[in-house]
Amino acid sequence: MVKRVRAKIAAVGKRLTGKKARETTPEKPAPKAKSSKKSAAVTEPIEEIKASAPKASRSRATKSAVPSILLEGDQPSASPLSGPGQKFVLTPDVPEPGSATPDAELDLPEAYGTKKLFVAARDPHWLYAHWDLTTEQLHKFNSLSAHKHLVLRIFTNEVGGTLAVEIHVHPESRHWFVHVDKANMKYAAELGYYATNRKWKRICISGPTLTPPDSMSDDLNVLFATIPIDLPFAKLVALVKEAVRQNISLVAALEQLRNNGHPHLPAKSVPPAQWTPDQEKALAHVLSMDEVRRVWLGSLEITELIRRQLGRELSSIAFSPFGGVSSVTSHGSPFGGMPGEKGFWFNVNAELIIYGATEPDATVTIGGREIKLRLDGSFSYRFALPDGQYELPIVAVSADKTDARAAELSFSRATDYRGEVGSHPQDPQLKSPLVQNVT
Amino acid sequence: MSQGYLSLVLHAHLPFVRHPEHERFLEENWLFEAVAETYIPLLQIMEGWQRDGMDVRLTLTMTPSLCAMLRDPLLQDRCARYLRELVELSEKEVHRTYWDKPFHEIALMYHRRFIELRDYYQGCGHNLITAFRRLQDAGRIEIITSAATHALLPLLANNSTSLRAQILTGRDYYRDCFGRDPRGIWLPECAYVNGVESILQEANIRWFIVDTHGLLHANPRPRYGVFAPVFTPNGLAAFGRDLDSARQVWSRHEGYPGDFRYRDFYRDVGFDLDLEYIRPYLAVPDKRSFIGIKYYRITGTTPNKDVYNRQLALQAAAEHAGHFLSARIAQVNRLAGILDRPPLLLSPYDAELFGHWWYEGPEFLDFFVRKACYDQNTIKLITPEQYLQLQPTNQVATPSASSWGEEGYWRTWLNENNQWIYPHLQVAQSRMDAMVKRFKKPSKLTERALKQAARELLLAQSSDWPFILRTGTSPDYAKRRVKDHLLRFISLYEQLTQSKVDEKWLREMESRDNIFPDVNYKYWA
Repeated sequence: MVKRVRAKIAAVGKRLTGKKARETTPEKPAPKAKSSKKSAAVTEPIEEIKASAPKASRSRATKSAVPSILLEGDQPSASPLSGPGQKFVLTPDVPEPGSATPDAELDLPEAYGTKKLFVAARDPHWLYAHWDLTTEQLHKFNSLSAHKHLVLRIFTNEVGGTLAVEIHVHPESRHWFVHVDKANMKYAAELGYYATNRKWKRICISGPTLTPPDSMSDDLNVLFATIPIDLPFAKLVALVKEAVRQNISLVAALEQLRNNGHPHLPAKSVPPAQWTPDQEKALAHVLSMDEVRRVWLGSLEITELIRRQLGRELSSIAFSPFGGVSSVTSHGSPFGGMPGEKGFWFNVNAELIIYGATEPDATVTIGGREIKLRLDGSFSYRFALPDGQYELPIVAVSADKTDARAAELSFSRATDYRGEVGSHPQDPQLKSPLVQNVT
Repeated sequence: MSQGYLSLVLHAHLPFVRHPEHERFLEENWLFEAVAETYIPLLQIMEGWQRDGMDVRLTLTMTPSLCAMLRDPLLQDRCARYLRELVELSEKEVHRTYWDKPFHEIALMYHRRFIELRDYYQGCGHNLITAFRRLQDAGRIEIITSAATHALLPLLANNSTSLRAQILTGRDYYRDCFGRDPRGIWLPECAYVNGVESILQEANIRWFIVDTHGLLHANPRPRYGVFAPVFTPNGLAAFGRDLDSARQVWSRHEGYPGDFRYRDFYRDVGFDLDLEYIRPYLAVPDKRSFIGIKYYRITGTTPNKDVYNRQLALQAAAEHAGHFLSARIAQVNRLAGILDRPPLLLSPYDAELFGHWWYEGPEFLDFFVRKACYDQNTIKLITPEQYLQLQPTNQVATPSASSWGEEGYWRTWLNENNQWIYPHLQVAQSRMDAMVKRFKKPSKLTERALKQAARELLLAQSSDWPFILRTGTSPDYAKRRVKDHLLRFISLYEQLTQSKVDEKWLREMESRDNIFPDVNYKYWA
């Protein structure tokens, strides 16, 4: 049923309603409709409304005479966000940092006092450790410690094996994120303290955890197996019952049975052909897996995180060009998480500047490579300084080659992270202080 | 004869959100929006393929928590109300925009569309599970399962009973929904760690998916990269995600969904229009939120958006479908020249990308599948299960621990924003083990309490809560959910072990957190 309505033309956010508009409340200059009576059951598309709708009222031609300054704040701000949506978004509001409910409102127990140490690998180079100690237990152990805090030790393979990292944790911490060097490595942890007599006292140990590999396997052996997909596992396992008891894998056992001509296991459908080095090289080229692409191709949420951080112009998280996502989603907040501090961050990086001056017509080499002096005979070079050892001999020779001076510069950087520390952005053009990077 | 294969896998998942204690609840809109913009449109498209006799197979994850919500009578009623209200509002919009032709056309589009959605939902008795099941029973799609509440399985790896409970509960609920056993599983967030497959084998699940590096870093090195699955030593097949097909669709800057012609997600009438006018249609009164009627297209990085043009947007979707198909054909041709078997491209996506986040996504999918079916012979669309039927001989290797989340491992779910959850889960998991061991022959009341404790623990283990805490979309809600379920678990534990079960309170919890009515608490034995 077509209803006669006094429709007010309203382009969203662009025009005001005409003189018959209702009184507006301060927050809504946005277009509005004068509501007609609710239709109890309009179920059909209203295509025919065009034929009988009233003509545009005079209000359409009326332009707003209200100065825009008086409308400031009335309209919801246009969302800074744009584009396709993202997971779990219900409003475009971007939460302010620290706007989440403070932890003080949570009434879960602060700890259970089990004195258990839990360690889990989070990725190839980071472990998460948590120890379940109540406040009283923490105070007790801290007071016994010569340092007045506990120490977390990370071992490779097993507790008591090779010590990989030793971390002095904050007295009130119950968890830590630990950086480890080796991917694809088993780690285990021990929590304790050094007593006043410097002897180590253990509180608890963890089970093992394995950091995932971060590169392709070096094992190029290839074994193929044929598994009938329609046979349930229970039946397959029953077929190889004897072999399974001998502790070999199901697949290996099936292959043994197949090779022996077991009637329920069909032969391999297509024997794998020889795989040539050319094929391997061609496929490797297709599969070139750089970190950037892999991180890009996480879910939409990852790129949305970055974009929202840009939109809020947060300085708390370092931004690098899109190809350097790994430094944006850096290592989260640092120093193992002091209780009650959320969103705290710390980034650090290092650069090296080598500079000097000599006679403008002298010849200067760095690492044997001749460099160009400025007109006044000065020079300077900036390098990135990642962890490592570097040596750069610098030699200046007079124009008549009768005199020379030299300096052997040695640098090293070895970073010991405590808690989650990100990499502060730096000029992507910078290279390490190596001879080949001297231009 | 095809040169290669493409497996499209759509992963449909939402966390279990149900608040009978409130007449309306904002976060329930996740479900209603997905029903209106993704699940029903996908059903319609797939039914169209069936109607047109197309030989097309697609794989669809339907997680247990999503299935539970789709079958819940309270949520079904609220979803029906949501669709009715959209019809009502769109009718008002038709009137309001009468004199503004570009907007009026869009309002008419929405009005027609919402009526169609409402009628479809009514037609399947408000139960979309039956519609999906019908398509599977007709052989048109393969539905796979996931962990019960989408827990991140690697972070449960040190608690084998909880790991087992997540997988077997998921398997059990799938049986209840679809009348058969699942053949494949979507590991939540594609998160795999060695050890998961032994429980998958117990559930007779035959295949799963890992992210690209999960397969490339497998040991020994896979000969075919991600273009063929491997068998784990215990006989499950692991398929790896193809990067190229992922990038073209996923990346909001490089990928199709960011095209300026597509509908902008954020310019919604819930924020653009008069509050009094849209108040009755808001998820929660007085709090502006998305309603689902949006009049603008992405346009560009400018805040000044142009009016949405449906024809242009559909044209973009068709162009992108053609481009996507050409790229896949080129990819397969290149690989077919290298490999000694037809390559497989495995392309998984969140189902909600199609329609909800990317409004034209379902049309893109429809155009693409139809083009693939009728316009070429290089690629055949198959499911991973069909691939294993065609190629039962595969290399044996163990995938690498990995996920498709931030940086490829578990950072998203274990960082300074959300690590506080895990100590509580560790203790709760141990306590569940202890209770099950203790109560070998429970009374009826004790058994009910044990089952409810299992439900609360499963809900607390959901990976969605730490995910939301990391991305910051609804952090207060996520925090509250974890806290509520853990506190309810703790109460049940204390009642069972130290005092006695409060039957009235238990009944209240059973009615609120009513997921998995037949949950088997003995999985924690």
